[in-house]
Amino acid sequence: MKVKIDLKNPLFLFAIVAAAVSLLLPAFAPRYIIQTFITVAMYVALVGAWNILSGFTGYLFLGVSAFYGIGAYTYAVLSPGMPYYAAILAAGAICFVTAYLIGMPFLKIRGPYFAIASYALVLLFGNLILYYEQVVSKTVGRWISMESLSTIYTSLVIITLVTFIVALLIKRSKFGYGLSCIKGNEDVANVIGINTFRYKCLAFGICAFFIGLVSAAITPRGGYIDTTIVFAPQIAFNTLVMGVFGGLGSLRGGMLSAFIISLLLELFGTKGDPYPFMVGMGILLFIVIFFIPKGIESIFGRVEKRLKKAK
Amino acid sequence: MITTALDLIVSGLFLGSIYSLVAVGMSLLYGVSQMINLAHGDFMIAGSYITFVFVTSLGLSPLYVMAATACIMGAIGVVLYKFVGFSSILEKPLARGEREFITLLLTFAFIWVLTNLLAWIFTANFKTYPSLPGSIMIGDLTLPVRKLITILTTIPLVIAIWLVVKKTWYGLGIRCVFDDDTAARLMGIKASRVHMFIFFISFLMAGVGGALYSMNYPITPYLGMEYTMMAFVATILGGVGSIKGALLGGMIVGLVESISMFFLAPLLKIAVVYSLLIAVLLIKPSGLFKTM
Repeated sequence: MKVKIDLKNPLFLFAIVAAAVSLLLPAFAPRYIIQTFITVAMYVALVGAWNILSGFTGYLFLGVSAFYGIGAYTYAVLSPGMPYYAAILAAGAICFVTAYLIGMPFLKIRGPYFAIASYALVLLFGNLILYYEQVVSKTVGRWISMESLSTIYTSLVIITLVTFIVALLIKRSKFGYGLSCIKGNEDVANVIGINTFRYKCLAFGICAFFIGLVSAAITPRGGYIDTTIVFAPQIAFNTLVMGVFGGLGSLRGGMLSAFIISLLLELFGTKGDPYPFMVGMGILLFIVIFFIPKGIESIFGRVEKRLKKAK
Repeated sequence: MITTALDLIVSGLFLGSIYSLVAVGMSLLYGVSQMINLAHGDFMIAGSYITFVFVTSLGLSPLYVMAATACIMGAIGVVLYKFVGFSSILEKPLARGEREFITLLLTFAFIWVLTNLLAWIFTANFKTYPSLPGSIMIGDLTLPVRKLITILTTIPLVIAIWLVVKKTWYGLGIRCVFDDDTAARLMGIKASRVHMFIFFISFLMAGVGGALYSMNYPITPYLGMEYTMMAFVATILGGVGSIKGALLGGMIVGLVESISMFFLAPLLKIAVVYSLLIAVLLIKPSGLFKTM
């Protein structure tokens, strides 16, 4: 498999410039802007990770915050004895293992049942960890030593870039074709010799790995976590809305919609009453489902067609 | 010893009643109208808030308000079916999987709109109103009246709906649509009217469940998720579309929950019920009953 690097392609140039600007942002931007873009980078990465499972295989995963919480708690447990980057990687690895193990019985469930069972994962892991905290470690929440904003920001941007590069590589590899076969028709995929079970588990694991990385990287921003903060269904919902708005399985669409919506979320959703904005998010999902079911990707497709015609 | 056991059974049946009420709605909506309502638990909580408003503003007894809540929720169901696009989704020639996918996303959006709307109007604090006082003593066992009312409202109501579906001419139409939507249409059954009736009944049950819930517990907008999940387990356990299955499944889930809460810990009940769900889906995904 080869990825063609074409320096003349304007999209590619744009990607390089965007990556460079976002990496250099802490050098000149004020604190508030960095705070905002930390959230933006987080959601862009989450949508990328979500797309690896839901976009590529068609399994609607509604439990992003389950692994978000596991990543954050792993980081909280490990961070006193470990450097920042090592703890992040460890959190990702633990998420991968958990997802792979859970995926073994879990991914045998198909279609809508999977979606609901994954929605309940948030509740399951949240309660299990709360139980552990109450009974074994006898704490309510955990305090975490803070890292500087620019460190968090830089690591999140790097994670985002890695997520997208990995997702792109997966999409173009044999593994990715297998996943899209599963999306098309799982029984046929099984018959033509794809080990659907292993493919699904692996996709689930990779998805959870990146979610874990993101949540571990962002955890030291607040300095405090408890189960209601990190196992918030809100994170799962926002990711889903962004992913659907971008178009299932479309990486560029997901990136753009995550960027736009999370920026709006930071600008309007965090001031005063958060509820009107959240109601608006729900209504946005309605509109997307009824009027642009293929999301931003369909707009991209139309523009591309027109450009080809013009040529 | 016996007192504890009886207490566990009663509280299990009590929890199971509320799960059953939600589960009957979910089961009918999924079985007959091919719509997975992820927001059914949240609609139940909406019913609780309607009851709360009526009881606190008019000072009526919650028992009378329950009927009003049920009717209002039923009307909401009809409105959702007619005007929020569910009828068009059901009329469109879509593959079953695709339709499920769309309704899943739609109802997921509903969760968000509903919980945040409720939190916006009523704030996220716990709300409660003076409920029915009194309790009955049998030996050492104390049975609060509100718990008994919950159980004694649920079981006859569900059985009544089951009889309507099983015995009447109208119920025959519903069973036809349950078996095969397209064939039922070709036989001259007005499937859209059947779907509307199903929406009405499902949301009515959610309203009754919500009213009963608010009699027993303080309410806050974010409770729906847990009830959706428990009712979903009950639905799968009983078999999708089956009314008696939903009742039985709800009771089983309620008993499992009360027993595991007593012997393990309240926080582990989700884990136990979740393992039950996974086990049922892997061993017998069609559930206990296949017919309505």
